[in-house]
Amino acid sequence: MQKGLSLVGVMIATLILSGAMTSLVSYQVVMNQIRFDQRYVNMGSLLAAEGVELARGVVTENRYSGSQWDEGLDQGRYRVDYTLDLSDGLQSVNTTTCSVNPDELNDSCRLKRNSSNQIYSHTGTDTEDEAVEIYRFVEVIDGSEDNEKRVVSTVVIRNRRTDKKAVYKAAVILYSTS
Amino acid sequence: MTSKIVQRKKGFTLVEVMVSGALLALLSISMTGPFIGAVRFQRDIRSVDEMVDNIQMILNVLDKELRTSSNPEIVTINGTQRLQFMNQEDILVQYYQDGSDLYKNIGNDDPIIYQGTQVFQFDQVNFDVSPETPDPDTPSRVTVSIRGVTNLSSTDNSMIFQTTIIPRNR
Repeated sequence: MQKGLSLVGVMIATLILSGAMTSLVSYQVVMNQIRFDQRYVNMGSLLAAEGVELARGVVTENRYSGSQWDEGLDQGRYRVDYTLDLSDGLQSVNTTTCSVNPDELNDSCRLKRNSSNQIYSHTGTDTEDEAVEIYRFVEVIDGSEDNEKRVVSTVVIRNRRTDKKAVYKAAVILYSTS
Repeated sequence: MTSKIVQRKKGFTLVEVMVSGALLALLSISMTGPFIGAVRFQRDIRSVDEMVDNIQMILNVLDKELRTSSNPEIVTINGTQRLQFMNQEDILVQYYQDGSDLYKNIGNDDPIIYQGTQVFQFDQVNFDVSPETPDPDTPSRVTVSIRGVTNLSSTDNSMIFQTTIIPRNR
């Protein structure tokens, strides 16, 4: 006597199969979402590195002009962007109100796109159509020696739709070359 | 007296086959949406990855060239703004956007063309140089911004990549 499967058996097998397939698709979707969110990694890293590069530019300017190597690089927080006049140092863009703590993002350190040249700066235009908000500040910390300064540039990118925030940092230790 | 053994084959009844077939069909239909969504999402990610990789590669090349360059400035030729500088070997290099492509001239050689692909385009390439004309007493600062656009239908289909470089040479 050959015994076949009962209807209940077929239904259970089908349910298990569909459950497994749903899990597989969900896993794929979650992994894709993570990859999709990671697309801002390069953008955030570049903007963080830009903050460091501008602080380093102040040291180069001091070398060219014969000023003290760290003039304009006092310990503090700064809103630095590409409009910075290197000869003024960072003191011209000092800020005490700017925070990039992901839990208390402050609009004064937002980077906004310039409508004419599409370059991010603190004086750009707010564009609501953008998918993300970008915040940045640069912190100068006195080193343990007189001839060194630590510069940390922090960028936070907030996804407007999901409210997810990612933090990117770049840091450098600047030395007196004399 | 002879006994007859009757073998009875047990399988599915027509009703059972129809019911399980209907259930399977329903499940398949309900799974189609997520599957199509996952495939579309995968395609979108590939577009974004391709754009990010291409623009990142260009910025890396530009970064290396500019660090060892001298006399960077913006010039306007045929109504198009170009970033030009003297490279490490003292050869004139120019970068400029033409349509949705990015061009690079090195000396008198044929230009190198960075083209968009089927899935992304160079939407806007912008340069900013300070001071505007090279000054031996002031370090130059070059800011490059490249806006790429993918063919995604979503609102977040564009990204701006920006970097600032201060050449080490006077």
